[in-house]
Amino acid sequence: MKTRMFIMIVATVFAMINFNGRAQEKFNLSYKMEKGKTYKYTQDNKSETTQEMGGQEMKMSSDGHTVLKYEVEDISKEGNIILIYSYDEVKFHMKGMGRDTIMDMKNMMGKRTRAVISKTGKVLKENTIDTSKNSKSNISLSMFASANMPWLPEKEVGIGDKWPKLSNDTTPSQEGQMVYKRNVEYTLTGKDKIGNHDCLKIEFKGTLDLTGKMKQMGMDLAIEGSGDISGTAWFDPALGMLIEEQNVTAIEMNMAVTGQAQMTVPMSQKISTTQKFVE
Amino acid sequence: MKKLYGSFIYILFCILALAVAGCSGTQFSSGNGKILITPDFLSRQINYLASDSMKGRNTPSPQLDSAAAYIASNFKSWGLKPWNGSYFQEVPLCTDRLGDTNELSITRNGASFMLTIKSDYVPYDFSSSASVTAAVVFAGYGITAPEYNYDDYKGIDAKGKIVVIFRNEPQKDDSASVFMGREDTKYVALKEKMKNAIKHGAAGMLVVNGPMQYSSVKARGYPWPSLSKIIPKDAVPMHLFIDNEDQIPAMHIGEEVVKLLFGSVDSLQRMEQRIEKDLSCVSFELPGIKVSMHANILTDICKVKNVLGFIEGSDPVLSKQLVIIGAHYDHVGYKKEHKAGEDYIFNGADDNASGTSGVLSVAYAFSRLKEKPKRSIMFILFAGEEKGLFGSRYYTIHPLHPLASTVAMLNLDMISRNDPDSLYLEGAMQSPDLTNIIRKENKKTKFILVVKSSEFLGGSDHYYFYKHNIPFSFFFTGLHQDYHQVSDNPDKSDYNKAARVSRLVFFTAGKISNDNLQYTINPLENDAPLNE
Repeated sequence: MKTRMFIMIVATVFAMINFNGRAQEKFNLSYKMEKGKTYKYTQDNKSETTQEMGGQEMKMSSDGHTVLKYEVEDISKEGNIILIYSYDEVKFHMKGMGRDTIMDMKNMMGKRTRAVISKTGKVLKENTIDTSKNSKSNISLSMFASANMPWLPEKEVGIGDKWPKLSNDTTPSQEGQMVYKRNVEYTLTGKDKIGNHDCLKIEFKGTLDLTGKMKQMGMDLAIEGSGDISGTAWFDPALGMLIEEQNVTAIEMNMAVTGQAQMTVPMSQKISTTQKFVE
Repeated sequence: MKKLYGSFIYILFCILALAVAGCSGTQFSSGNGKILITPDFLSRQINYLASDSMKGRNTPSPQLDSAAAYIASNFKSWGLKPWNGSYFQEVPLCTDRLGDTNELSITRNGASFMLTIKSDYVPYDFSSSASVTAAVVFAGYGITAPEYNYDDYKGIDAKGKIVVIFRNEPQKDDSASVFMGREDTKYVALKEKMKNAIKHGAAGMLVVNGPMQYSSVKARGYPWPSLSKIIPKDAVPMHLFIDNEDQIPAMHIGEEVVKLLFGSVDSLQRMEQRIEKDLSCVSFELPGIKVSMHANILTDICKVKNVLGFIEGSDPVLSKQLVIIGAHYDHVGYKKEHKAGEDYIFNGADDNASGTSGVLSVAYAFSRLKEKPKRSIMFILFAGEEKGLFGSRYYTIHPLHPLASTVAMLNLDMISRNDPDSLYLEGAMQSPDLTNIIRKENKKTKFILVVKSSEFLGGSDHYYFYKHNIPFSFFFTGLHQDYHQVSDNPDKSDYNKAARVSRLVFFTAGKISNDNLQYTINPLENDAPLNE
């Protein structure tokens, strides 16, 4: 009985030392993209949208696959990363309302946008270089909820530490603009091995509010919505790169159409995204 | 000079031809179609209806009323009869607003809780404007589906009570489910759920997102502009005003209401899981709880007009049967915000000044027949098609002639564009007899018929006639890049083609209206695509 008690005490002390040791381990996280280098990510997403018109529920689902390329032009004195991003692949498959459509969106491929990103992942500036035929602006980095680059902490963090992301991004969209307000809390929850990468596991959870106005086919569209974001990112601190991220965004939206048609469409949307570092 | 001489010969020819047509006895004269339905006739009508002064004939608008008066005056001048003394059928439309006095409160074991609109509950647009205070029953998904041996109302008494139900239907992720897995059954519609609640005597309906199916248990209801910072007031769509519709107060509820009713979202989720597992009925009355609902929906009513002209059949028996030839005369109006000098009017020359003009030309040709057709013919120009097939739907709810003795409906929508020789026919599989008649009559007009079956089935005014099992055919020359653009102007219309389509309608209507046959109508379930 005594022996068993002893083993338990030793185990508890060991665990405490181990925990404290880990808690004391601090990380200074930053993106370490290098000038002249190209980085690629695959992004796969699935979305389920339910919209309602006249008391009738309509469902649509889609899955998309994109390959996003970052070409680093320069690193500023402050460590900001000046890069050009574009999509090598953009494919969507949409199903719903009696239609099943596969779209290989070639007009969006290769269209470049220059962005300045802080070493902690904040999008500081974006400028469209090439526009696609049907849109004056390309897909914006800041359009995606927490996707692409998670914000890293400004200070040193240890396991269990939290840091916030309070962002207010305005992006141009079809003769209008969308405003995304995010309030996300990141938590460094541990270490993980992803492939050959020794990663830090960062979990995040928060809210998203969006409002926007745009024009489509001569009609005015207004969109508002709010929702929840949650996910996990695996970051390689030595390489200074995001290795993988999985996130889910669930939004309740209202879309209003005025002009030649009048419509108010409530929509629920759930988007699951997986992003992986390729090279 | 030559030109004048040519015109003189042409007029002489017309007079002779008219004389021949007038002497044609009881036989329907297709000659009228050739002579009277001319590109020039179509051009005049299209140019008038699609002129800038018509400002795009929006529903409702003074310009739509002007177009209605113009159509009616033509009918009158050509000798077509009104119906019960009028060339118009008024169509009541309405727009809903959220009133200021909506309330939802819950009394639980003697304690009262007042809920907040928008965050806790939102009334639906199809809710009645009424108050109710009653006990509450949880009724699963609110579905009674005998064919699936499923009934959420089994074992509960909902009479006079407020039902709380889930949105959607169970087992959405189970492809083997009787509820068709990811496909929706008819029971998914909230209006169906309201009908079922009323059938079971319920006095109010609260709808909640099931926590398993929806990631958020937020109140959403209807996007009322008064609850939004961004949704403009004029975004609320009009709908047909139906004054005798059965309704009860209906609201969408959020998490706070769920906690007050069920204790927690988890409790609600457990019930959802039990239904999900084996479609168990888990319905029950919530003890010690009373809910007060006050839904305050205000309705603004306006009226637009279907325009109609009548030709009474000559046969004492067959004249009781009706052939309808219709088109919509409305379009989508104009851009309120526009730059100086910018073309801002959606003139709708093809959509659907062309179809309207086609109907007018056919009416004119019929009005000039000396011997009237055996069956009666009603020419109807519908309002509100662009806003939701309102005019034609209203007509089928309030028909001026019994639908049971309406033998066919021919619909003309967008008949003046694309390849000069091609013509789409929608409804071939649904109305094979009519299609065969059109094929035969087309020997005179020589179109390459592209027979469609259901691509545009719900896209124009024939739809509600089809829903009432009336054989139909939809004459259509296809979409184009000016569709619903300000560039859909008369100069892009092919008047020759519009005249040819109208002649085919005239020949077809001539055949049908002198027939004594009933035509086949196949329900939608038997539909299959067919292209020629």
